[in-house]
Amino acid sequence: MPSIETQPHASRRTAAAVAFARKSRGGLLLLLPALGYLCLFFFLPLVFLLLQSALTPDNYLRVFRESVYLDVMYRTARMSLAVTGVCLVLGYPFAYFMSTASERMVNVAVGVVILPFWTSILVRSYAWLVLLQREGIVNKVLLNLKLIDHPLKLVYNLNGVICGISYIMLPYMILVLYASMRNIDLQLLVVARSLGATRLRAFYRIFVPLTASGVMAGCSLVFILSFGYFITPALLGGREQTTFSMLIDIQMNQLLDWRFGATLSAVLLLVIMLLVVAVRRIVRVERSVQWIQ
Amino acid sequence: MTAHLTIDNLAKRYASTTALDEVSFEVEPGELKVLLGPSGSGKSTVLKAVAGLISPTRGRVLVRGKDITDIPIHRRNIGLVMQGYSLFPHMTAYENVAFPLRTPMHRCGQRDLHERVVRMFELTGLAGLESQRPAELSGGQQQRVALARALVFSPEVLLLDEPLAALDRELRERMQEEIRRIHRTLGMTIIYVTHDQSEAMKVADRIVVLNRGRVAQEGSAVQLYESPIDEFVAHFLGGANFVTGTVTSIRNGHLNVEVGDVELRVPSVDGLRPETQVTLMVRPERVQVGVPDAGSNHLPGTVVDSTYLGSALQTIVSLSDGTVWKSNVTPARSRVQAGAPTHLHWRIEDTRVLAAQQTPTNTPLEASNEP
Repeated sequence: MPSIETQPHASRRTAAAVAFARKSRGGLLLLLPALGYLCLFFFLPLVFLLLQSALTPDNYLRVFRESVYLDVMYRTARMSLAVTGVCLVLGYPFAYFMSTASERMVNVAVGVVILPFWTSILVRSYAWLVLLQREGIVNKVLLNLKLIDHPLKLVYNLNGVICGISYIMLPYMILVLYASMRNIDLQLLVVARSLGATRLRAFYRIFVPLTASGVMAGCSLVFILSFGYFITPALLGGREQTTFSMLIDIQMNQLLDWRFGATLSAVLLLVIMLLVVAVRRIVRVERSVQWIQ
Repeated sequence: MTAHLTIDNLAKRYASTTALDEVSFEVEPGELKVLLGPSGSGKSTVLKAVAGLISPTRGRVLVRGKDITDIPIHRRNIGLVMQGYSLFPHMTAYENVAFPLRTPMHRCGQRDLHERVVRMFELTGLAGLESQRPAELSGGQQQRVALARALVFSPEVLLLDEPLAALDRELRERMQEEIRRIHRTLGMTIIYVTHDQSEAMKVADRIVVLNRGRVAQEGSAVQLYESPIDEFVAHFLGGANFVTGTVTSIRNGHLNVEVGDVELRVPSVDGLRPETQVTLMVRPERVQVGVPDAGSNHLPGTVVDSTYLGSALQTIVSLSDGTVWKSNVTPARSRVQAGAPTHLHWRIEDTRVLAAQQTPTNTPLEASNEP
C-alpha cells in the first residue's frame, strides 16, 4: 500500500543539515543522467520538429485560414474545461475527506486514488467502452430496471469523452488538492466556529479561500493535460469530439504531411504555454490584489 | 451574587483515558480565573468543554445559571484564544477582527462594525496595523489581533488557552500586564489556562490548581502559596521542603511533631490527634542555615552544595534520613563549605501541615503528555 507521510519533518531539515547534505552530494553532477536523457530524447526532437515547421511558414497561415483548425482548438478547450469542472466537483469533496481523515484512512484513500495508475490507460479506456456502449452494462441495468425504454447513447459522443478523460484525470486533481489541503490548520475552523460562524460559513469563508491556490494548480494541471490528450477521446469520442492532437495524428500518420503536422504541434505547444503563463499571471495578480487591500 | 460561569461536576472520559474526573468551580463576574496544572491535568479539557469543542461525558456548564452544555459552539457567545492564535492567514488584521461581526450570530450594521473594530484596535494597541496580514505581524502583534478578535463581539466569557506560550520571556511578561490591563478596562470575565505557576500568580485574581482531572485546590495566589493543601500544590507553586513525622502532643495551640529524634512545633490544625503521621512543608526562602534562634524549629543536616544566585544564596542540605532541603535566603551571604555539618532553622508559623496524599505525588517534572 502506498503511504503518504502525514507528519511534516521540517524540523529535521535545519539549515545546517541541508547545507551538509548539499556539500556531500556531489552537487549538480547527480542531475546529469536525467538531463542528458531529456536533451537527447525530448529537447532535440522538439527542436527538429520546430525547425521542420519553420521550413514552410505558409503552413502557420493555413492553421488560421482554414476554420477547421481553430474550430477543433475551441472544441478541445471546451471539452477540457468540462473535464476540469467534473474533476473539481468530484475531487474537492474527496480531497477534503482525506485532509480530515485519520492516517490509516488517508493511506487507504491514497491507495484507491493511485490504484488505476497500475493499469494501462488503453485498457481503462476500453473498459469504459464496455460499460457505456449500446449493449453495455450501464444500458442493460437501466433497461432491466425499466428506467429507460431504449438504450441511451452514452459513448462516441461528448459524454463518453468526458467520462473517460475525467476518470483518468481525477487522481491528479485529488492529489494536488490534497497536498494543499493537508497544510491547512484545521484549528482555524474551530476558532471560526467559536467566533459565531456556522459549520458551513467556516468552510466557505476560511477553508475554501485557503485552498484557492491548490484549486488553481489542480485545475490548470488537469486542463492542460486534457488539452493535449489523445487516446481516450480517440476511443470514446465521435467525429464531433475530434481533438487537436487527433488532427496532428491524421496529418502525420494518414496524410503523411509531417511538415504540417509539425506546424500543428508547434501551435498546440504555443497555446498551452500561453495558458500556463496566463494562469500564473492571474494567480499572481490575485495575490498582489490581496496584498494591496 | 450568582456566579457568571459555573462548572458543575464536569467529567470527560475517552476510550482509554480519563481527561476529567470530576471538576467543579465557579467564576465570579469580572473575575480572571487561572486554571493551573501540568500537562494532562485536564485544564485544556475544561476550556474545550466551556467553549463547546467537546461534549463532556457528565456534568454541566452554566452561564448566569443557564445550562449551555448542549448549545452548539457558534451560538455560545464565548471568546476563545488558542495557543497558536489561529489568525486567518488570507485576511488582513482588520478583516480578522471584523470576522465575528459578519457572522449571523453577531451581525451588525456597517458603521457599527467599523466603530467596534477600530475601538478594539485602539484597546489592544494595534492601531495602524489594520491592513497587515498575519504573516507580516510579530508574535506579540498576532497575539493582540487574536485577543481583539475574541473580544470584538463582547462575549460573555473570554477563554485563553496558554495564550503566551509561544512568546519569549520578555514579551510574555509585557503581554501578561497587557492582559491584566484589558481585563480591568473591560471588566471581562476570563478563564486563563496555563502550566506556568509564575504566570498564573501574576495574572490571576484566583487560581484553580488541577491535577489528574480533579481540582487539587482553589484560592488566591497567596492562599495557594502560603497554605497549600497537599504536596502536589506545594510543589507546583514553587520550591518546597517536606519532612514527615508523628504528632506527639497538642499544647497551647501548637502541635508537637516528632521527626527522627527532633521535636518540631507547628501551628495547630483541626482534627489531628496524637500518633497521626503528618507531612510538614516549609518554603525554601523561609529556611535559614546556621545557628538556630531560640524558639524556632530546627533540624540538623549536612551541606551538600551552596550556590550564589544573585538575588539569593541557595544552600542544599541533606538531613539525617537523606531528605534534601533547600534554603534560599536573601541577602546572599558568603557560601557555606560543602560537607560541613549545619542546622536548618525557621519560624514556627512558617511550618505547614499538609493533607495526607491519596495518590503518589505528580510533580511537574514527571508530567505526562497531554492527549
